[in-house]
Amino acid sequence: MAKDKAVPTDKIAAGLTWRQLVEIEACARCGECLVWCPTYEQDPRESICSRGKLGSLKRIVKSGLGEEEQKEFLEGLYECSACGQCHIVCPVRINTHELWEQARQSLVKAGIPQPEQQIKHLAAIREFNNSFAKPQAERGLWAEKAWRAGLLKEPVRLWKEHTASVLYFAGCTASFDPAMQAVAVQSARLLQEAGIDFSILGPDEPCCASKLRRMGDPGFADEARKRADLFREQGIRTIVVSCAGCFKGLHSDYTGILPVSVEVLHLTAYLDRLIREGHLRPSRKIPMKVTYHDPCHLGRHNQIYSEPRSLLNAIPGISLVEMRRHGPFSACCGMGGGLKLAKPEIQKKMSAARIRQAEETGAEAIVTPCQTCQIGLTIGIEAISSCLKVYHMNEVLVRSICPEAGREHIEKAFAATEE
Amino acid sequence: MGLVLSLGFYAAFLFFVAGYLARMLSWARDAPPQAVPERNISLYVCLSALVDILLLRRLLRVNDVLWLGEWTFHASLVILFLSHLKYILDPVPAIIASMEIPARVAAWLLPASLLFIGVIKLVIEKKPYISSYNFMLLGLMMVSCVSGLVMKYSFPADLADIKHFTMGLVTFHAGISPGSLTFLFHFFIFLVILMSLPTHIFAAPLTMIEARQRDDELPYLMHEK
Repeated sequence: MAKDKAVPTDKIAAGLTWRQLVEIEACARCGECLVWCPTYEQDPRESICSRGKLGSLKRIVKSGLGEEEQKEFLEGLYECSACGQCHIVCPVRINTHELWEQARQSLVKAGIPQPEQQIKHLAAIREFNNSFAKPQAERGLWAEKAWRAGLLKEPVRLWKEHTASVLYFAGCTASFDPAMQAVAVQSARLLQEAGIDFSILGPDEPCCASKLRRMGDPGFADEARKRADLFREQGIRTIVVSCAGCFKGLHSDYTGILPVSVEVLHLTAYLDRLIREGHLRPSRKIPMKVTYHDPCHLGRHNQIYSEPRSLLNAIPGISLVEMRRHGPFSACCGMGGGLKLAKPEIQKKMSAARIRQAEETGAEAIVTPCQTCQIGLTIGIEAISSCLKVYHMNEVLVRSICPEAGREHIEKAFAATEE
Repeated sequence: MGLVLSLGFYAAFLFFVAGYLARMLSWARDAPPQAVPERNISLYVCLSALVDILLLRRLLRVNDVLWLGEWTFHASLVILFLSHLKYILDPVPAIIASMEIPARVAAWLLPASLLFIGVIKLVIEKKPYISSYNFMLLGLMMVSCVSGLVMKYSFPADLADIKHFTMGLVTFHAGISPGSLTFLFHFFIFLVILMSLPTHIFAAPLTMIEARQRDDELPYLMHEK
């Protein structure tokens, strides 16, 4: 097969780090990755699994790929949720998902763009500073609406009006998606229940820009620096994040960009600490057998496994059962890495497979602290008409601590506001 | 014949070394200078990585049955490699000479572990698990093992002749080729394996050290920037 001379192999190699060039050579081709890859399970092609992608990258760096091979490689590179399972099972510990993101960036720099849907999504983030292409002025409206509807104990203050000890970072989805605004409201309410002095940035809250990194946008580092400068200028020392994707962005992707003096915590870890210190007490009984879905960005990528489980175990009446794949081996629901945008049908299959694993446990509900996973798992439930319920961790906690801030009440109150 | 075999050996060795040199040069040429890590590696990181490499610890955590086969395979390979050094060292160091019995055991364990791995991957796990390259390499290893065992137990070759020939290779004095056909076949398979040695033999330890360094510096992260 003729090599595609238009592919600048030297530029692609130059976009990778020295470590990554070594990693490409380190693959023992054992195939352990394809045994565990949740995407390969749904689309068993060699180009989908890490072994195949590493082999292609090796050939790209060495001599380039033929037209067909390159097409397959690109499909495999973007038909990947960057969940990190292959890294966990790799006997030689290749930092695979980091490599995929860097390779995406490297390809873009070399003139080979992302799939069209991802390009549109990234353009929206750059233009509007949020992934929903909505005016930033609307970002903090959830807090005002919630206060007016009596869902909060006190109004949520803006950082510019009150420099608090904690910044609550809601993220784009909980700020703009009407179906997920309950997550922001409940997060704020739980912090108020614990007596935490916190503020939000409201219209000044930026998109964390982590999706730029996920999808290989070369502008990520510059955008991240702008956000880090904003946090520094505002004198922010502790950021509590309810979105797993934003947490990965601020906690992991910003390493070396955000000053080490700024502490970034995920809400689950923070609430777990507050419960252990006695500031928050789940008191009402929730008699329910649940299973826990580890979001990739929280579990594998940031090693938060025990805190969410500890939260569930702190709720009276909750009985936690584990799926056969849990913790570091938790199967991805397919919502990460831009996969849902590039290949929605694969995401649906991955999510359906995850729901079947949850059903095997005999649980009534699957709980996750990630709103994106909640959306993804709901797609799986609809795909296989499962009777399982999906709850955000906040919802379960709120039902035990302050049931008047339950999702149903929030949605009803917000719908009334819209009318 | 001795000259042909010697030239074949040098060609295979050059092919092997040149392949790695070319890769290292391409890394130096392609990687941006700022991406070259300039970090001090602590003793703890070195020791942890050494244990990871020697025990194949990550595989043990993920797939203990396969680990048994893979660890036996790699350990046997190392023992056989070390014991074969007696053919190119004069005098033979005591530690190499003392490996005679472990090498005899390893000579049987190596093909057995290859079979074990094949059964797990192809029969039990039923995944398209081994790549065609792996098949070729493992096939060559198996043929090499069998020819070595045949030479040891069925058609013994003259060890003095072999030593004379191999010492000639390393001292650049091409000697007379040993007459044993089994040896010639065994040596030929060795040359093919040398030319097709997987790059992970050298790159994987570096990656495992780097992973330990990452664990050490960023204990709660999977990523670094």
